[in-house]
Amino acid sequence: MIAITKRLLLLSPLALLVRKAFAAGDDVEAPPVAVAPTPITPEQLAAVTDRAIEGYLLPAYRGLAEASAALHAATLAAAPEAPAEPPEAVRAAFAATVAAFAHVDFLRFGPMAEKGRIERFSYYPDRHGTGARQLRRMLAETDTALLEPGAVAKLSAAVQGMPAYESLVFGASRDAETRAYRWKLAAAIAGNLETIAKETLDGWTGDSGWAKLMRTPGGSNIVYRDAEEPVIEVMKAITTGLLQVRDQRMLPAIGTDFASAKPARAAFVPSGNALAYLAASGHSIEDLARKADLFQLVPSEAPRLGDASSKGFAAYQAGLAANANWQEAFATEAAYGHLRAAFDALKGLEDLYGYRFPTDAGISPGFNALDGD
Amino acid sequence: MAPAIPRLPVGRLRDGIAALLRIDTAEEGLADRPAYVSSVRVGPRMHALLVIGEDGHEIGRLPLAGRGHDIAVDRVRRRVAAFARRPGYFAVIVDLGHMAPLATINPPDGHHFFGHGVFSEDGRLLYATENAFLGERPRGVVGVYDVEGGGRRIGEFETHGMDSHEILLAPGGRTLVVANGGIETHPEFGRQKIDLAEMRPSIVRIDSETGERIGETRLDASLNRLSTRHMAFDGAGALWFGCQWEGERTRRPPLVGRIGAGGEGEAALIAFPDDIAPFARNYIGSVTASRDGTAVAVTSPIGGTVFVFDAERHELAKVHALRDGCGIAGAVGHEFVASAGDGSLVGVADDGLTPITRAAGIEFDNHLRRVG
Repeated sequence: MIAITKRLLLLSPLALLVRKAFAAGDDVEAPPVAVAPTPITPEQLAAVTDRAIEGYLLPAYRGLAEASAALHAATLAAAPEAPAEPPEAVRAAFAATVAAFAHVDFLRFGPMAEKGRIERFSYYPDRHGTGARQLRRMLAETDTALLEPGAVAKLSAAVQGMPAYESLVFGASRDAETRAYRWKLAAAIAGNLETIAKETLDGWTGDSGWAKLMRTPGGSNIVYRDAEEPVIEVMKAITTGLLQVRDQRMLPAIGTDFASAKPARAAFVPSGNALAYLAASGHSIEDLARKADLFQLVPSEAPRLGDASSKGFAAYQAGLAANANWQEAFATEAAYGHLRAAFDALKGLEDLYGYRFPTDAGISPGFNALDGD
Repeated sequence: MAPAIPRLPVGRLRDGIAALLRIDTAEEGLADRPAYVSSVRVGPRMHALLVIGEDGHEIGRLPLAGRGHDIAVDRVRRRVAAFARRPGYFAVIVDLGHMAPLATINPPDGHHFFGHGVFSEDGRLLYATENAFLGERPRGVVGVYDVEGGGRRIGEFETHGMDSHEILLAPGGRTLVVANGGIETHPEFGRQKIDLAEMRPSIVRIDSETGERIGETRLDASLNRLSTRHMAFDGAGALWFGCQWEGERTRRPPLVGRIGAGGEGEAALIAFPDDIAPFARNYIGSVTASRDGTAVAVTSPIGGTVFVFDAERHELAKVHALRDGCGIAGAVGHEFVASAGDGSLVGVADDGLTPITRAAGIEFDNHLRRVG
């Protein structure tokens, strides 16, 4: 047991000094640089925040709530029959949920980042096979208590969300004996997904919702201290989102070269949604940048930056679209080369959003703050 | 006069150094002058080791093959080792007296560096924290490199944890102290933090001669998501450490702790006052002690804040706003120099921050070290 020492200092004077320092900007007045970007007004920043919230963030979380509710309904409808293969309605509902999840998977802030919701919604990567191991045990025990409302939410995150659902439903044909229980458990998991998505949407909206936090920076708002910070949150989401897709979603599967590729490591392979998920992730990040209209913070450069962004995302999507499905993309070195091209296109986009645009706009998430260690 | 520098073999030098953009001659080298060193970004995917004088002027820079992180300093021979950041595969040893790269060391197959290292007191050995990632679960180890022997790896010690981050040599020069961040990572998953619920941070003390674990400090189980990552010894020999919280963003756990002289025993966590805590953003990026040992500074680049503690009273003394400020090093007495992502280098004194320079086209990385 450790000793926790809470020092009661001269709190108020210290706090006042800090507030004063932040209110004035920095303690340090930066020496002039050769080409100073035009200062961005708080109104311009607030407009970006508004556009991001209304144009992208709220619709994305509404979409996730709707998709997961539809998945729950489709699964409940299919469960009594407990088919060996998932019916088309379930396939379509799961694909829609994967796409809706891709719209928010790269957003590591807000209610989805609290209470382990994002891990519970989709536990990835499961490097040690925790989900598979626990599902095997659960299928062996067929404990009906786990089917009660709210029971799934108390289990390990590895069996609460989409990978567990996918394993149960898209692997059902392998195991006729436990099929009925599989479908019931899948329905319970789909219900959990619906609950998480609804809680998340509720956390965004309302008088104390995250959207309001972003719209009312400063004062007693401890998350966003000024009008720049919500915009930086959006910029970080784009930059780290690009890195997440490349480094954490593609790299584990495509490896460093064709010989070291491990396609089964990608997310949503069993349901055939691996390529669709990656494509939706790219579309989502591009959509957020467009809806927020970030480049309008530097109007003179907006056409050039916009053109570079469009070309980068187009190259990424072209690399993914070159193969009909995930397995085909790993069939030959030439096919694999298209995935590698998509991977490389993300690097260019990271440089655009993480370096060129912040430099041009004079607003930066911070080299250290963005991705420290 | 700096001691004579033995020239080391430069095998695999180009693994770590892209090219030498600028190299001062021996006459123009650092000699005995004090200086600050840091890894920096100089453009998209362009990184370097930067050496700066006390007045902020650039003394030299050495391109690195990838993003750097911390710099180990051999004060006797005025050499530094610039480590690639996690998952890093090189460390470049540089003779600052001559502004000359000496060697690049690489971890063995199945290992990567975590971005930190420390020289032995005599400068002959370099200890580096590494991730041994080939097994079912990655293991933290300390790789032992023979600097005099061209950077040959001559052994390794277990750190008894994962995500082994900063490593220090305790006063006395024999005990190594390692901060195990406790987070599982694997290079095949990039920098992704895997299974945060299973985090097990710790601070361990290791006998540098035998590799034996001679002590370990763990936080309370309720703080298992408090990753212990950076440390410094104050003038009295107490170990200060800074943490990064991987739990709920709305919680404000203590982020700074202190362990008694020699880094032995239990940790006393020092919470920020409630109205100050939000400025840390649950993230401490760097910890250092003043040169006179009476103050300890910790930085939060996410919160854009430098916190200075009175090391003798174990109390928070000063708070300064520095956007994206992370690098921090001792200056004169109990004062510091801090660096920021926008190229700013500032003096940190009782009465606030004083600009030293703002280097054009430079983004300072997480750590800043003083030489001399």
